[in-house]
Amino acid sequence: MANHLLKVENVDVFYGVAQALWDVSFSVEEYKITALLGANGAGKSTLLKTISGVIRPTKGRIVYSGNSLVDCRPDKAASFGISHVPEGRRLFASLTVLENLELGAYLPNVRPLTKESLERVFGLFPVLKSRMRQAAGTLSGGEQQMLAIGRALMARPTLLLLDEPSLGLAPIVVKLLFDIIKVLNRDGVTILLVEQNVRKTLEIADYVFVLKTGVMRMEGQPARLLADPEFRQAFLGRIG
Amino acid sequence: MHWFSSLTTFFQVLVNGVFLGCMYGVAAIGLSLIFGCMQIIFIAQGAVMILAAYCIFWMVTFTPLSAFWGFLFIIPVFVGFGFAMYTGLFQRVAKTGKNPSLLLAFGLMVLLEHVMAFVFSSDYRTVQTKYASTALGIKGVTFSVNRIIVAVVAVAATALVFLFLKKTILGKAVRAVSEDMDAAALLGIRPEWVSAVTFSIGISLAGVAGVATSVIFPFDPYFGFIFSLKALIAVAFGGLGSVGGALLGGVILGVLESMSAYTIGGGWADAVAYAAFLIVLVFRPEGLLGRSSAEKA
Amino acid sequence: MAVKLVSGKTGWAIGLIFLAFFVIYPFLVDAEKSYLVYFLYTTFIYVALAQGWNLAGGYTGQVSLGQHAFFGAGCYVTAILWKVKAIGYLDPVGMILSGICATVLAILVGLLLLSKLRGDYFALGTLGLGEILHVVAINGGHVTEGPMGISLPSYAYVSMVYYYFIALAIVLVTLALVLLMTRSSTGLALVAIRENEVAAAANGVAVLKYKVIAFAAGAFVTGLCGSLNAYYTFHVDSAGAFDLDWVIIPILMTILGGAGTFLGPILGAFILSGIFELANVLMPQLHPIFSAAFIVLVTLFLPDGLMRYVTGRKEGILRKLPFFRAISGGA
Repeated sequence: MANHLLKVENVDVFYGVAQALWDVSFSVEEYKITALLGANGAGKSTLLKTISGVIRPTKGRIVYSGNSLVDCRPDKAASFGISHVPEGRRLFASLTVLENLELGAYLPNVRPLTKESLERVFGLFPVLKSRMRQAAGTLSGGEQQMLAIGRALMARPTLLLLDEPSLGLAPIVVKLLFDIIKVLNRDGVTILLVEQNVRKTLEIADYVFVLKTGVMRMEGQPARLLADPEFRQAFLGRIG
Repeated sequence: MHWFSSLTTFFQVLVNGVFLGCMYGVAAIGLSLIFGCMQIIFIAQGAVMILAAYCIFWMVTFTPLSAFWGFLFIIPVFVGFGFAMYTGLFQRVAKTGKNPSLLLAFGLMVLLEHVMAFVFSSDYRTVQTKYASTALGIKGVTFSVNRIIVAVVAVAATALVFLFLKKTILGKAVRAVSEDMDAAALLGIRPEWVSAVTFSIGISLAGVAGVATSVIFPFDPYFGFIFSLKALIAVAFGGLGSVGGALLGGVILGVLESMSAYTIGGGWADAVAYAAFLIVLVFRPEGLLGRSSAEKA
Repeated sequence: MAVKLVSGKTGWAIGLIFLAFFVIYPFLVDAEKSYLVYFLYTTFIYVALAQGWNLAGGYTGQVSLGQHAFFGAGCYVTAILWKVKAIGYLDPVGMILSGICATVLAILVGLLLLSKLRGDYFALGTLGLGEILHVVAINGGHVTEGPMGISLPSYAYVSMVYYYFIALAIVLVTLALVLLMTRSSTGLALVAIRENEVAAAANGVAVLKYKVIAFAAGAFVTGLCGSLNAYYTFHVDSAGAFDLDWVIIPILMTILGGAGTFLGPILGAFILSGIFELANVLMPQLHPIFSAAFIVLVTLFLPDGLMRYVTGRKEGILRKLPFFRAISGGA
């Protein structure tokens, strides 16, 4: 029986008076890569932010490893083992690469392991090691994304939320990025991936959910979705 | 216009300005830190300084301790004071936006001033130290020992704060929160806690500046506001967000004032300071050393 | 029900009733000795000052800490002109001229500061302006007669009634100005600028122009008040004219009542003025402490202002929004 690490049930989210999510439910299976696809404005980022505690749902339940994430502030959610790499990365531009990473291991349970965590991250992203003392703002787009992910990894999360990591990156870098996501998953990190790059996402995802204007429309394994005409129409245009 | 009668005079005025500037600088660092975490100008910084000055005054009056011990005592006391102020008052309004915080700071300033006036009376106070009339002389330029000690403390305080921000994880968290609070929260950093710590440090720096003030100037309860303004100008010169910049800004301001006071008279010295303030704000808002954040609104 | 009270025809009716009372009252009592007449006079001035700040600070989101520059300018222009006999006692020409001087100052400074500075920096810039004028007044030699200030012939005093009605007139002018500006496309532009300046600019709003207009209009009213104040105190000196109280108290009143609303500053002015006077009467020695403590309490517990509670519209506050949002019944 698959263990669902994260369960989102019947969640409504509002921005002021505008509703962004309607009765959204889905779950993330442990040790798998779950993907959340959808067009711009579908609510994917909103959903991630609701999970990590930045936004509060007005209705519904979110349970993570037995802990309720509703009414949870981001720092509390982080302490449960959730690391959120936000849209646009949100690095501390004026701090160095090393400092950004060190801050990733801020939480008291992972701080003692900072040194080992740093080694692991440098092992995954050697370029970060070479730019260790550079200000984060001076890095290239791809390097910044790696730093953002590295920073999130410093907390040794059990669940990694990735919000559009491929945005704005060159195809070569995107390929590298997705390879690393696979590696991370192999090492035991559960991943919830929000993406607009449908093709590459389907290549690595174990299970996919599709969000459309705030409503959960479809779900399924990549192969099944690829065969689904509605899915193909929405995401793959008229290609065969 | 009154030009310098000699090179020695010039250096004397310069040196006086530097020492004056050190005091501005210490208060300015606190202001800069508080702005970094709370995004407001803590206009009550001067009033807190004067409160510290009064503490030293009464300490010297009732105990045999020299005023300079005040530097040691004031720091933990005011860290606690700052912490209480933040958790008791500012934390509540932090969520509502910046203007309530600004007004709260203002109200606090007025409250402190009036309470001090009521309790301590509005008379001017001075604090004497053993070194009050001692001075070192180098090539005709005198360095009052009082002021030397103050300057040393100022530099030491700056260095300590700088090291804290650069080397400790809490200090890095402070910098992170002041840059991007939400991103910091995602890493498990509790913004209120960090803000409380930052604020407390800012207040303790005001305390240190207050001790310095007590031994150099005669002061009364309302003296603080001018100091707040000057600290503000110092921060503008040096750039928000830069610790060294705040000290440097203070020194620049001190020198500017000292020079103006000597050449064109005390009254206009203030106008020069304010005019320079406006010029810096308009043409180089990020200050001389600050990060470029022209869109800070 | 509370909403109904403050908007629409009922609101106007109530306003008119108050106005009638204000107009008639001084004739029913001995104006020279009446405490209420004095109280209303000072409160009227505060209402005007508060609304003046409200235009730029509340509606447009440009917080100015330099109102004392305009107030002081109004004081000094009037005093200087009267001293050289260019104008007379309670001379409308003189008062309007003072207002215009303040406006011109605001336009010049506004163009400079508003085009380059945002938010806090702008506020600081205005504060700096006020302080510069303060120092200029102290060092103005013969023109401003230094720190001792200009003394004006107090034998010209005739009656409190004049001051009262001029103050009332200033208030009405101010309110008319505010209504005119806010219930027009200008008003929409101001609020748009406050809510999201970039979006407003992208939509074709001439941001700088409107910011300066709001700033200048507020300055005009503030200058008028300064002028009247000079006539009232018969003495203008730098400490009094550029006292920071002239900045802070109107801002506080506006915030207490609700910035960016029409009734807010009026409400705030009356309430706070009343509290100050009460404190002064009940505990004269502790009055400043009490008032300051009140300020602290208000900002702690009523940061949105009273109007928000009255009209019942409390939206979730987005933490990053630096200044107030306009809701309010119609204004």
